[in-house]
Amino acid sequence: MIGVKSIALVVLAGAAAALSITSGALSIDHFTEITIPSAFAIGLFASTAAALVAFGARPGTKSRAALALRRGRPVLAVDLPRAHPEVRELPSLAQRALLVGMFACLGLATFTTDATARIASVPEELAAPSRAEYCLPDAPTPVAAPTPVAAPPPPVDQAGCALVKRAYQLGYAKTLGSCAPRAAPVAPAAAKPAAREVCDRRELDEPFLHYTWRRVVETARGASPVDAVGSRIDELATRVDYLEDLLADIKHSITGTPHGSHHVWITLPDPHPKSSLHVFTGEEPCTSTFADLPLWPAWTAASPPSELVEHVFGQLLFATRFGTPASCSDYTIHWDAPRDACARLAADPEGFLDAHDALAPIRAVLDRRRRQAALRRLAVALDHEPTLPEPPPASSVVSVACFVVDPRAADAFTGRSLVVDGETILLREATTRAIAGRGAGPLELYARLAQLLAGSMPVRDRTAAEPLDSLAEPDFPLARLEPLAALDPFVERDVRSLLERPEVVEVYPFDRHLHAFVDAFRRVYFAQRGRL
Amino acid sequence: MKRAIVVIGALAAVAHAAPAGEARVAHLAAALTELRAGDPYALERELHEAIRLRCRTGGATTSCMIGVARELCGKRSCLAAADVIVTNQHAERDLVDEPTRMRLVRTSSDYHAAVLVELRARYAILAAELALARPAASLALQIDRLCVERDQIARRCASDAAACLGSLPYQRCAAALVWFASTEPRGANP
Repeated sequence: MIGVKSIALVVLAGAAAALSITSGALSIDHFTEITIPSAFAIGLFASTAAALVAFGARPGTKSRAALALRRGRPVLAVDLPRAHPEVRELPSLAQRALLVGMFACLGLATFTTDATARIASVPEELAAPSRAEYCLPDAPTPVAAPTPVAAPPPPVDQAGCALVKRAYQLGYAKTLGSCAPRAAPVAPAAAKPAAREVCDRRELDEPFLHYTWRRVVETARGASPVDAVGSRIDELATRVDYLEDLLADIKHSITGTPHGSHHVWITLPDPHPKSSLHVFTGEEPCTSTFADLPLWPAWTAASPPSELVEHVFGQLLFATRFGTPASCSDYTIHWDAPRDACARLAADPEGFLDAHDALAPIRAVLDRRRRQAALRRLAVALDHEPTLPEPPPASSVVSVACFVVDPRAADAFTGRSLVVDGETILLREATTRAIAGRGAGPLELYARLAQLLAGSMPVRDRTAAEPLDSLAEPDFPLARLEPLAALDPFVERDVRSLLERPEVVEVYPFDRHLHAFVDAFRRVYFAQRGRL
Repeated sequence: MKRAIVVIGALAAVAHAAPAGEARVAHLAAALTELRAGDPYALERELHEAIRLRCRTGGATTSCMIGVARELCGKRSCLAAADVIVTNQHAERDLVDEPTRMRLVRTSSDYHAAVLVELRARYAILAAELALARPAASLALQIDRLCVERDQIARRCASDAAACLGSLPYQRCAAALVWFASTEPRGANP
């Protein structure tokens, strides 16, 4: 039985030798090119690697696995006793020699002259001073190639010399005299001196402590303690000037002053009248009131108009299904408003607002806006980049509106401006005769409230829909509904009559049409509104 | 016999429906019965070919499609089933987006069969919603209720959400579910 250790060594050494022969590492030419450093590196590598492997392989010990021949077939015997008498190994010296030979072959293939030179130069390159840290002498500029000597300029023809030249050529005159050819003078090109950077980094022969001291002195040279203290005092004085604004801004942040205050007075009764239980339960937050609004509730003639108004108001402003909503905490609906709310508001803004608990939140928002503008001025005074954005106009963060339902009045819409605390805000009023839950009533209400809030709505193009078959026919009731997917009742007035039929309203594809309407409204409305 | 089954099925469903939706539920029940009784894929293919031949000028309008379907059914009792098929065919362009249709054109030997497979994948999402909806006395009633109420709640899908169907008009929702519930799946290249 032959130990696997010997077999493996022979195979590996043979493979290394074969590879070396194939790559030419064992050729005579290769040996003649080897330099002394290469030979030293190969010898060092071969002896070190062989010693390390031999230390682990223990050539003096027999393998515990061996290859045997039984009935002419090779069999691997494993887990043999350490000193099994039948296991034969190469002598220890031969194994070591094979190891050295194998690594020498590898070294011959790898440690070529170039590779050894590169490896030898690594420490020198690592220790070389870097240009980022030291002032290094300028790299020698390459010797400029000799500039070709310019050909002498052609002789300058002088006036009145033609006859003299002719006489000279024919031999009648011995010299040309003043007509001798003269070359045009060539102005010498001025040499441009190369710009040289002033280096304040460490000099190559500069001790480290000297360099450190030099840096400290350079840093402190331009700074005067008196100037520094003076600038700090100026900064402090500027901040003191804005102290009230700073404190007020902090107060607004802590107390949670609204970022906007918009009030709508509606002449309808509160759809959620307050009972005595409100004392204990508190008011329902607006986020809950307007969360999960159904798309198109089954309104009837008996549906309370105020519920319908609240629903449409919520859909236009706060429904998340149509994209980014407004913040409902910035809006207050004042139900049960008097018929002449807007007239009274215009006559005595502050008195009316105060009577309806609207003055305090409006003033808080206006004050917050003023403070925000003041803090931006402070940043400019301190030569800092303002961190707060430019506050929107007062009319964007505060607004008042009235929605009047009066059966005796005609439909109307007016707009004017008010002055509260020196700031101009908008007042809009819409009057409608009635609110109907059936038919096109909700559509009219959507349009009316959108106008009240946004002032105007973009005119939307009519949809190019296919003609609608009669929905009254009994056959193909599903297919007959298909054109409704493209027939927008907000735009196509012809289809509004269909909404008188509850069974059509139940299946009308309102989602995409309402989506288009609210999207158009919000694009107009949000362009007029802002938040602090 | 077939007519009797249709009538009985429709009556059973209507018995549990609310008055406003009685006709709708009866129609859905009739469509389910008709599709289950015959070969829905054969009828679908037949309708598709006829509509392709006669309604292609300027896009197939529902009135033309209805006319073709009415003619094709003739004396056969397949009007309710044809209504479902026509609605699904009319909604095809809205349910399968342009890139998907282009892919199907490139990769399928039978475009229409491939579209049916693609639509079925979308119907399956609806069917999952139906399975999770509160049970009703009949399948037709459950489909009707789901499709009437489905758009009432906010339904927004992320652009890359594969298993999400956004807002869907009633008739498309109902037709899709009736087709899905009454047919077996088929490969794109049968």
